[in-house]
Amino acid sequence: MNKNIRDLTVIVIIAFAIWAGFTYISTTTEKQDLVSLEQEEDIADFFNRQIFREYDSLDVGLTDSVMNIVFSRLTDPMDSLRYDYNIYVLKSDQVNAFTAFNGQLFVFTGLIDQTETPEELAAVLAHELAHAEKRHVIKNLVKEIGLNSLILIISGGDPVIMQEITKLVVSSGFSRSMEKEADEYAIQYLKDAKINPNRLTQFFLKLKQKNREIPESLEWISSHPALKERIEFVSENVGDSIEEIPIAVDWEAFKGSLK
Amino acid sequence: MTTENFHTIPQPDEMDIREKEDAMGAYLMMFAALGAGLPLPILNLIAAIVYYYINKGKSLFVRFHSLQSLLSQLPTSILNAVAVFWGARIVFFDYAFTDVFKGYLWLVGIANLIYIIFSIIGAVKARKGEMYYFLFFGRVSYQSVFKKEETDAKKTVNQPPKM
Repeated sequence: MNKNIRDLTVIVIIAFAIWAGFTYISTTTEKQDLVSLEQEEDIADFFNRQIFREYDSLDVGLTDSVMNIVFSRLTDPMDSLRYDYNIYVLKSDQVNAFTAFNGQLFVFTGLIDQTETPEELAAVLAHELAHAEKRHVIKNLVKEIGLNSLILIISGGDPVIMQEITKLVVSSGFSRSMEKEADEYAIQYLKDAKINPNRLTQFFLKLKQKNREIPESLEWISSHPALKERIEFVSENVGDSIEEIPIAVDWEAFKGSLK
Repeated sequence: MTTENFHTIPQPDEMDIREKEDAMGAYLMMFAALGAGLPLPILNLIAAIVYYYINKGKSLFVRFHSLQSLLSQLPTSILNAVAVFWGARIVFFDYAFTDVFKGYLWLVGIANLIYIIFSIIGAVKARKGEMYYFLFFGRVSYQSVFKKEETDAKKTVNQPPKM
């Protein structure tokens, strides 16, 4: 009878070892699969050129300083940042914001126009910042087109394929788990920055109410699925209410300067 | 545990072809049922138990192989069932295809592979009229099937009165 118990124990231990071993392998291979930061810089160069070919960027002094005030409010409490972030404002009516490579964040004037306070923009940026910190863009691309093709494209820089990649990045079609993770971290960033995390859902809801039919220009909303579910997720995870410290920026004047 | 408490093991030349085929069938049937029962792994467990009870009375040899096949598919069925429900949970509720789940899928794959290989070997051996013991399940099945009933060992022997 003792032999039976011994054999059963051996089987159970082997099974757990296989499980743990393959879990470990899956975890480490995912990390290895990723493109290195240097490679990402190269992709960012190609990508930025492509973006600036398609959109006009606003590079006036005021825009720059206001965006930096809002963004540094988020990043100041953070211990370390993965990238040296750059925020570009693109002139377009699209209500959209997206994360590209190597810490390049893009916001369309259309989205800024829809915000009523700088805190709302901070909430959108917190979400994009989380995508960047978690390297979702690269992970997504590796998933969509494979690591080998991605490296091939970087080295070749084929303009047609770069255009396709650009489309993919601008439409920010992340998986649900990535969106959830980005929301999760955005809540944390906003809390640390003393901004009410509910700003994120407020902005969602407001946009949804304003544009009941969701026109195509509302990229940022339409690319983010299951809105109701996410609002619920954010409100459930907001936790204790925090006292918001407003961002001292003349928002209306700033919005006016974009036109 | 001595061999005296156990029935003698039948030898290949003592069995007819029907008996050998029934023993082989235990592995093949349950092995086929595992595939058919994949969407709901509990179904093939029911099929396996039914097969075991049908063949239970035939002979110790058939009964041993049926029981070994039934017992050895238990862990695989449980692993598969968990994989199906866990997978469904991921698809319908939390959407996160985690590394822990990936590792688990590997475990399920390996367990199924080992089960299939051993079932095939078991089926071939059974067809030849040989006993074949899986790790753990072989011994448990042998002990359960070949052990003599307690009443056989404690046969009443009438004694004269003490004088």
